[in-house]
Amino acid sequence: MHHWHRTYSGEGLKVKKSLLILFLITLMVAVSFGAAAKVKFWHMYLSGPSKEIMDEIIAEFNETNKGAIEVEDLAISFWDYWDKIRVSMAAKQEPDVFLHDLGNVGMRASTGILLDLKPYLLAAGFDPEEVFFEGPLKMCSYEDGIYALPLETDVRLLFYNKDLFRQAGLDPEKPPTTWEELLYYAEKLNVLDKNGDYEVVGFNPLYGQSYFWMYVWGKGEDFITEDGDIVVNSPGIIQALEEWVALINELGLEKLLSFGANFGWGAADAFIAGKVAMGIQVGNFIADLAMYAPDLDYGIVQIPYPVQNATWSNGFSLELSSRSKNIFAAVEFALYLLSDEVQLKLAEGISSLIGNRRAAYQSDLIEDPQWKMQIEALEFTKFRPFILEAPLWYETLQVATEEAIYGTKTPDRALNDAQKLIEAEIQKYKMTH
Amino acid sequence: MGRKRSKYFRRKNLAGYLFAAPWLIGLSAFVLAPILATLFLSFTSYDMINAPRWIGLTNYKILFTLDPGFWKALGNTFYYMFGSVFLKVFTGLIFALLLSSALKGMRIFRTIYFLPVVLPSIPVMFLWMMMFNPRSGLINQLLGFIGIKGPLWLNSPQWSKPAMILMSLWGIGGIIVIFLAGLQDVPEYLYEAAELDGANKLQMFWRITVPMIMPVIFFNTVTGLIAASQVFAESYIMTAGGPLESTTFVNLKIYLLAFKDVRMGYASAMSWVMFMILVPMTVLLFRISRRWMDY
Repeated sequence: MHHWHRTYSGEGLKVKKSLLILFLITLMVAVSFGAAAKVKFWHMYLSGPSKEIMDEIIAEFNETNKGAIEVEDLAISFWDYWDKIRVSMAAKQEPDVFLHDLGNVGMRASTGILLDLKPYLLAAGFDPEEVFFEGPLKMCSYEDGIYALPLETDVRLLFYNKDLFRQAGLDPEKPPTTWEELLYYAEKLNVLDKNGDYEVVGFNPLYGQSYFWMYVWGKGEDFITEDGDIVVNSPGIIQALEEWVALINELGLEKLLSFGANFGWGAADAFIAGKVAMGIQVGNFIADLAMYAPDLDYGIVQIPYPVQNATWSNGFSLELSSRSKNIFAAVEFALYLLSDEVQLKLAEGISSLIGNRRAAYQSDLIEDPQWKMQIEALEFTKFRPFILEAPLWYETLQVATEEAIYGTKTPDRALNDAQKLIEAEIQKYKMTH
Repeated sequence: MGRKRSKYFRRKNLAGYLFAAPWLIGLSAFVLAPILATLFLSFTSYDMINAPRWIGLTNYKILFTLDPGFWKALGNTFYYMFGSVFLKVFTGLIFALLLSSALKGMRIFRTIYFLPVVLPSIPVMFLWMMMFNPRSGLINQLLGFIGIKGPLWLNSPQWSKPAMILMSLWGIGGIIVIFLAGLQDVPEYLYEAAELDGANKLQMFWRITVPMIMPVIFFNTVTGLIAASQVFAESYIMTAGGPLESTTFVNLKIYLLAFKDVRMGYASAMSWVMFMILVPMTVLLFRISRRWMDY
């Protein structure tokens, strides 16, 4: 007994020791796997069907990746979102994955706070050019990397009121297909009251989401030179502004302004009130029409600009913090959100104009002519080019446009001054960076 | 005896400081500290993501050489400041004179004129936007009754600031109340003596009332100017700085620079330049007023 005990304890100790070590290793492995990597995700889907869909999407992801990754999301209202995300970045407490403005990804990418997703996309077998629409994808690129993913975007289209068409003797199934037709129809659709003020405006270039830069693109012009510099006073753009101002003057600026002052948004929108026969609006306007004027008989068509169809997009990007503690988990979640299945869900659940092109064409929604038109627009849509040194160049352009419209400056003087201001901005940036 | 006394006073002083402490802490943490921070930031380039980068006087250099927009905003601000304050002080004085008479019902009118001051400003702004509507607004309709075709008000680059100046009359109640108090302080015997000497109402106004309430006029003017220089909400809510940047005021510009462009350093420099313009202006006003108040 004694003998056995002695030998056993010698070997037993060895066995016990190795068992202990094995147990500890298993425990460590179990604990490290059991502690799921937490991914903080901030978005703006605070209420309604979009909140329900996002909750479902996140829950499914958490279920599939139980124990390995856990996504904690936070919904913030649109109005507060931008301040909150900015402050969180300044406090070095930004979330791992977050929505942001697709129009100025470069601004954040240049500070180093965003994760370059290109290597991860390629490793996961995502060919970005094959999967995403060209316009949105371009906005996600900065220098040689891809710093964001195009989660949601939008387009502008020409909405027209079929009842007003009928009243003016026009065929409601034959919307204008050229710019001349648009102007011709517009004149027929104008209705003036006894003072000569507008009761109904046929085509209101100052209404809705009609912007001068869209007209510039519609004339085949561009704001970027071959060298990649920003230009707002090229001969083509000056001519475009002259035409734009002429159009507004023909309709009467003061009359258009006093007409516009009677309306607002939502139920008080001029088109919804049936006072604008043809107007340019964003695709989401379809939801507004469904809510505030379900009986309004309307149609939508690509905007028939003079030289080529053009439209403008902006949208939300999905970005990742380069300072995240759980980069792989965050990337996993981001790729999930942009995967075909999830994008299909977003498209079908909330008619979101998604960035994933493959999913957009696979969706059943493609049978819906209105959605199909928006997808077609996404193929040729343009975004306002992002200029790192002068990110608000388009506001300077807008002021110049207004100066020309109000007649305080001629179009070429206004645009030349705007170009000088933008170049001064670029110089200012170089002096401080 | 001396030691006991100072201990007593020291204890009393300590109690005083303790009572004032919460306010002092609040003042230091939420007012003084941020102000000093902006002074530091004005010499840096800060994008709120990476640490502020020291660039010395570059922001100030840019402000004085490369930013015509700032000077335009400054011009807009001065236009509004002086236009609004002189109109308010002048109109306020007239109303106060009318209200200081002992007629029946004056107290009700005093309340009515003061009421707008306590209303929340944002809904009031929307109300004013409706009133300024070129076609269906109250103001142009009233002008139409007397045969004047009203301008586009907030939609016109020339009339947007006058519209806002008119709007600022809304807050005249505070000025009226202060003037009423000042008018009460003018001794009756001065008026009686003047009447005996054969002065008429107008002479009494200019020779007695105005000099006697000059300190009050001055107070209202200076506080009005400082308050008006901070104009922000009206242009942010009603016109977004337009049309044609006619209502872009300095405060709005600083706000947009700091929170939309995220150029914190530059916005801080702009704030300090504005401060350095307002301080000499106030000192100048004090100097001028001292001359007026020598009677």
